[in-house]
Amino acid sequence: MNIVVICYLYGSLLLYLVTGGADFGAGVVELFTPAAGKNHIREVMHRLTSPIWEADHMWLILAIVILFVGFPDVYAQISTSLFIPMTAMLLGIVGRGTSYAFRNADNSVHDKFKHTDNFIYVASSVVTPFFLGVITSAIFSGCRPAGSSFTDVYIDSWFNYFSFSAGVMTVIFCGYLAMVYTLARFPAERHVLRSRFLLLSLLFFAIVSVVAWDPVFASLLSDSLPRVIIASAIMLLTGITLYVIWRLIYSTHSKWARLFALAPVLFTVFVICCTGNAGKNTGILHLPLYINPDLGKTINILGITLIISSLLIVPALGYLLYAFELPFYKKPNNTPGPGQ
Amino acid sequence: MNDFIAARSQMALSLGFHIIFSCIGMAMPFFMATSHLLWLRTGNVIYQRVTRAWAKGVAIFFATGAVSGTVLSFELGLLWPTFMKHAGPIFGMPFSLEGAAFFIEAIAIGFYLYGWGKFNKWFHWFTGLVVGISGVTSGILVVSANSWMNSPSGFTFKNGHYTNIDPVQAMFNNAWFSEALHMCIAAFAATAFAVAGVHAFMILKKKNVYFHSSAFKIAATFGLVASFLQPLSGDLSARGAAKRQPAKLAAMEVHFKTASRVPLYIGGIYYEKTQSLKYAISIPAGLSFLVNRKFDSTVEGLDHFPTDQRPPVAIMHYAFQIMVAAGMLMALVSLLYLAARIKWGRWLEKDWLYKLYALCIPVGFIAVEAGWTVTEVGRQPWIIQGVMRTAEAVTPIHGVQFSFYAFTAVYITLALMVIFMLYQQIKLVSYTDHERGQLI
Repeated sequence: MNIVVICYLYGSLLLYLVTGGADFGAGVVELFTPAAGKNHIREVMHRLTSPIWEADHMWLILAIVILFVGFPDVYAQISTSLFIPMTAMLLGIVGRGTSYAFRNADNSVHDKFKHTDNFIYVASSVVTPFFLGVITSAIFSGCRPAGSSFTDVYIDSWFNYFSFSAGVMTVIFCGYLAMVYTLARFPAERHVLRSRFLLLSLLFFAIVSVVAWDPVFASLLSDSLPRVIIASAIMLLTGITLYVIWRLIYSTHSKWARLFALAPVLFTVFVICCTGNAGKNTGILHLPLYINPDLGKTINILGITLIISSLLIVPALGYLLYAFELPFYKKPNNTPGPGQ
Repeated sequence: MNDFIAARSQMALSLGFHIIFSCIGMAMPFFMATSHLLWLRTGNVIYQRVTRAWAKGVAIFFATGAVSGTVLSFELGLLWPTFMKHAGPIFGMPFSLEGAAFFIEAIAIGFYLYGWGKFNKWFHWFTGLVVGISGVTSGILVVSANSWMNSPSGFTFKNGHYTNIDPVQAMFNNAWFSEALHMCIAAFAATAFAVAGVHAFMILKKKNVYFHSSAFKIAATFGLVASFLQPLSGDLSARGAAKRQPAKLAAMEVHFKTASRVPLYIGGIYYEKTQSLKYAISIPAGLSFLVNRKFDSTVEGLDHFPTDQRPPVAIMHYAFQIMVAAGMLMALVSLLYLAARIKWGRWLEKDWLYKLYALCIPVGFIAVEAGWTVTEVGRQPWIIQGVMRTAEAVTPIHGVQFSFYAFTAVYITLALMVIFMLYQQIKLVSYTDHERGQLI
């Protein structure tokens, strides 16, 4: 049952990155859009995310619940050492969820409020994934506190170059993902958004390269050869994947691009794990996750709960996706979305 | 403000904020589904309009409730890491089930809000109902986790170690049923009164009266049933507290000396220095009767507990009195409404009835907040009754007050925005043609 629970934990985190990430990405794309095109982008992104965006963010709740029920020590330690970035991320989550709901519910009111909603929406779409990246990379690489001062315990584990570059990588990645989903689903947008898609692809490639090479520079004098190989391999694979997705999007098989977009997700996670662990392997979190043997019964029940819940959730979610997305494939150029 | 107080304040703020949204999230989908059912059964288009207007409200409240709920799941660890480290595996089962229920709610709300005209009409209605059912399920599960803190079970605590963990026994602890029942009914009563009050206000303003009357009728009926049931469930809760947390009950009633034939005090002003209550109405042997159903029975007083194990009496007494008073007011107003529905139909034409309802908009939520205060403050100084003190559980980080200030600012802004947004929506209902517009 331990394996089941760990799979669910990583699975829901990954799905959060894929679905919630694309959601945040909608805001990131809006940021990269010149003022004149913003309304158009909003409308397109709304069509993309509207029926499922609430469900997208449930993966995070699932992950956090699994963490505190099954791995309470890890949860307690993360929440203590990473108090500051986690609080920042929470504020981002609040801003993002509410501004999205408000600006959509708000079809009547003054421009001033719309402006505020839009601003908060874009800002929190950037802040949240940024700190998500910072937190993830800190979990994988964070040093054990070197001392007992405030900075040692609460700052050093995440306030560093690596965590920040991982944060930026997550933001760019979210934007890229949203772009892939959009273009795969609304082929009419391909030409409108071509230059932005190219820009985000290049940015993504650049930032992945930076993060991948980071541990090489960090240990220039010691055993850097295997890391050079890993870094080069990551760059190469990312480059190939981005190119393949690009070709798929601008072909008749654009919907397959969405499946392919999973590859960069895995790279992103892989890069963070690899570079993080390679840099400093005394992380906050020891991988594989340590399960306290006292918790045997809890883990068994948690596993059973998760399996039973999946039997309810998966078909329902599948039908939701099917019901709202299928029409788009049937008539790709005639897409009057539910949101007017 | 020290870190401990800051952490408690932030938790209180977050829960106090979230509880309103979750109450609405539990009850409002049922109003919506009822109105939807009326539309499907009668074909009266006014019910479709009501359904759509309420669905918009549900969407705003769900979104806000979902984020404040997400925040809470993190705050448990951020503010109380020691508590979560030990309690997580014991009382986590309802949380993991709640995660699933919440997920289903989010899926159902996707179907409902964006599914107008897309699905079989009964399937569409059913998804609306599922929103409500999973909302109530979530509520019951979360309250059951909270009741474990009041009535811990499902583990052995020895020398600072928690062993023999049994999450199922922890979930079905002695307090779960009475607490969950009280909370669910409270959610329905509070939401129904707020919704009915808003529509009553619009009726008074003579805007779109037919629409608002139809909506009012549904909400007021829910409020009637809930406010009549609530005193019964309150009695169950109080007697449970007397058994499991005698200090809580004693503080609620300002009952210091263990004795028999203990009177029940209503109202009054509490003087901390003399530990006495003045100007209260006293019902002789009332508390003894309420707790044990015998006038000459003994009720444990605060003198049974060392001073460092007593909850703050003043807060407890006032919060409890406010809750009961608010509950009684709602029951009374419902009684008038019932009388109007059964016998004095002309009252339904009168302004005073609607004025009463309009005044009652916040009353249900005041009761909810006060009741929540009683539950949580009454457990102090414990975070797990009799096992772990709240002060032992708090995060070791300094500067929690900054996080508290940030969340205070955010929550106040959010509250204002939600109110503004709803005001706009309600105003809009009066002027726009809803068959034309798409939702959201």
